[in-house]
Amino acid sequence: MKSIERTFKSRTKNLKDIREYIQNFLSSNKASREDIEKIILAIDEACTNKIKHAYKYNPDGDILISLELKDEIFKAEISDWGEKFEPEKIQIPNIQENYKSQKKGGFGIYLMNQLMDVVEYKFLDEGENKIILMKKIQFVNNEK
Amino acid sequence: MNEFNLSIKTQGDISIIKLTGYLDAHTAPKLEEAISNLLKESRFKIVVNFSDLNYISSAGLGVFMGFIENVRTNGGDIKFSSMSQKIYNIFDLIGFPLIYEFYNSDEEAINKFKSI
Repeated sequence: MKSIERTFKSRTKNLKDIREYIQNFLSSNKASREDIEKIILAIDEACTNKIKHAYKYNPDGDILISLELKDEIFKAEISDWGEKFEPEKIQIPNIQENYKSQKKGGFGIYLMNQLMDVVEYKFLDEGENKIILMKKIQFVNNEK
Repeated sequence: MNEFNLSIKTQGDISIIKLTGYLDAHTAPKLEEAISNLLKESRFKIVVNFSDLNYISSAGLGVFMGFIENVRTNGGDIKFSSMSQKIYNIFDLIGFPLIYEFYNSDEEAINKFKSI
């Protein structure tokens, strides 16, 4: 099993560093390009939500990202200590409805669910809000 | 993996926005401002060229949703051109092809405006 973790501040300008962090971990472990792209987007969406909704753009919040690869199962755990997210309140977006209401958001969580095999939320002690993303991945040249 | 740029050229009453790089929650406001400025100048016919865009997240997708209704109410449209399969797949997951027109080149999108 391989795993790494790192804390990022809750700033949108850090999204590029987060994407690079994921890219480096998955490339060095020979994940397929297609899986890398999907995982990067899913984690970008998770972190964007934490920056916007959990921390409401407060730039000094912490986002802890841990990445793990065990055989062909990739797992990311992303935690914040901001406002609690209520997944049950999230509705499946409808593009026609968004069009009528000129609504810009609401697609991030839907994208995460489409791109990953498992999306789970855990609310832990000391205000830790964790999202767990898992995906069975393929490797370059079918090698591990 | 953070650079984002855009350039705008005009052809008659049509504006062509070319996107380059990475469009995420950090860079989306730049695109939002550019489209907003076009609308202030009553330029409602917009083609967005994606040939050099490497990455888009939902923050980027949301920019188009925020303007499309206003643009169409004013007799215009936002049409997409030259999108890679990778970027198109993201738009497709959200259902954008139900609302927006996609073209292989700027010329095709421009001709569509002219044929109205």
